[in-house]
Amino acid sequence: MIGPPTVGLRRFGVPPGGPFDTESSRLANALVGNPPWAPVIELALFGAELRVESGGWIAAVGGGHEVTNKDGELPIDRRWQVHPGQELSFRPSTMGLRLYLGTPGGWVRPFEATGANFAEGVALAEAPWSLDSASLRYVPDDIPGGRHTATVGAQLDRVGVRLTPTEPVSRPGASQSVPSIFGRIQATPAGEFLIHGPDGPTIGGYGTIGTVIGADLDKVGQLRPGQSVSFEPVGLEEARAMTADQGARIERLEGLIRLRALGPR
Amino acid sequence: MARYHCRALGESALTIDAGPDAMGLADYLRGLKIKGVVDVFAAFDKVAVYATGDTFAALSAAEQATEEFSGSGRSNSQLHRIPVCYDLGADSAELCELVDMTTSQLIEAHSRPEYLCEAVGFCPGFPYLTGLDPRLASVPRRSTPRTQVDPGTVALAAGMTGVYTLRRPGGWWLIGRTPLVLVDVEAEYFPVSVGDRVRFDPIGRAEFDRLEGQRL
Repeated sequence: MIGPPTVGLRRFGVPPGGPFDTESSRLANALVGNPPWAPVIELALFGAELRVESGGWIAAVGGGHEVTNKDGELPIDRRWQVHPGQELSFRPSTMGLRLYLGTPGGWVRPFEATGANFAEGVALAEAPWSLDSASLRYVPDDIPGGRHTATVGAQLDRVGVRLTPTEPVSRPGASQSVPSIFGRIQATPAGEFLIHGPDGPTIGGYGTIGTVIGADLDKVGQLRPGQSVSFEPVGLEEARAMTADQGARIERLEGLIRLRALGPR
Repeated sequence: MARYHCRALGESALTIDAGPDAMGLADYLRGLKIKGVVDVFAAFDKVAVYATGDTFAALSAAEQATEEFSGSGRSNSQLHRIPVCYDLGADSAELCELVDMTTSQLIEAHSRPEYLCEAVGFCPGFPYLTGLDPRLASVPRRSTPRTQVDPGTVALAAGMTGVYTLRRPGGWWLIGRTPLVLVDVEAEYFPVSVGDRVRFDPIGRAEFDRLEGQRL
């Protein structure tokens, strides 16, 4: 279960945490009428069997899983009405990695549910991620930066995602650890990339090539082992505009979901 | 003319090369409570500033404030005394051989200096302490890191000493254990800050057992 990111504790070595794929998590919350940062369940790759204890609504947004109950497959990027005793089976699928489950009020109820009428089966207009050749834009440390392609390795979790570049990339490490951030791309002495996740260390000693732009961090959370990824350098100004656009896009989708929840028009 | 070099960490953070002014600058920037700035910390000679919302405005303000920083010193620095049972150092014998010291010389060399906490990180609350005895300062990391090091383990490598606050993999040399708790993330208990000073006091096994689990 994942709550909102914490801030203000990096000075004590505590990373922000929070959902790895913010867009999917926020949309899962929107579909059940929650505020954007209500606690969600983040499922990654392993699958799960869940039994419903009390009936209600569950929204599922993201990737990596196929969900079935005894009647068949349940659609992703929708919300479902579930009943006590119902069993939900989450099996790994071949697209994306992380699936976010939202329920009205969040999973431990620290937020008030809005109590709105939820539209049945609101389909998202745009899939929150795409698998065809994942492309990550990054702000390079040294302008203009280079294009790199890499393959996602099997070592990936909320701390970091390891990738093997097609051509080894190595950067000299700092003599002492230096500040890091979610999205920082380290180039290890062995020539591998390590992208820091939301639970990644606040400081690190390996060399770096740059930082994944805010707009593409959600995609990092959906990278699968074996997937091919291209790294495209962008300028800081461009990165700011892209990240602002992405923020506006999520807000627009949240607004659309709320609008549809108001009833037929 | 900028005195310090600033570098972007993506759109929402920057680091400042502040040299010996890093701790003072971090305190100063944190004290300004700049709108949108959520985290400021010093790590060795760098200061990091993190922002949310209008990150451009927040980071620009932080950069501007850095220009105006007059280089004042730190406001407060605490001295922590951390008891250590050196009998529980899993690597002590091997380390003594490496640096050609007896166990009592190692204990004396490690517990004599007053250390300075120059960074906190790696895992929550882990203090990077500088000021190691010259005979221990050139000890490299172990060639193969351990997959698990227990909380409270006191270790050294790469010119520094520190205390594992949570169970983590680790490549430093393990020379003892403190019975005290140095971090409680849930309770936001982080007694050791960057700029604080630390001394290690040797204790025996009985004292270790008596103090185990207490907070620093």
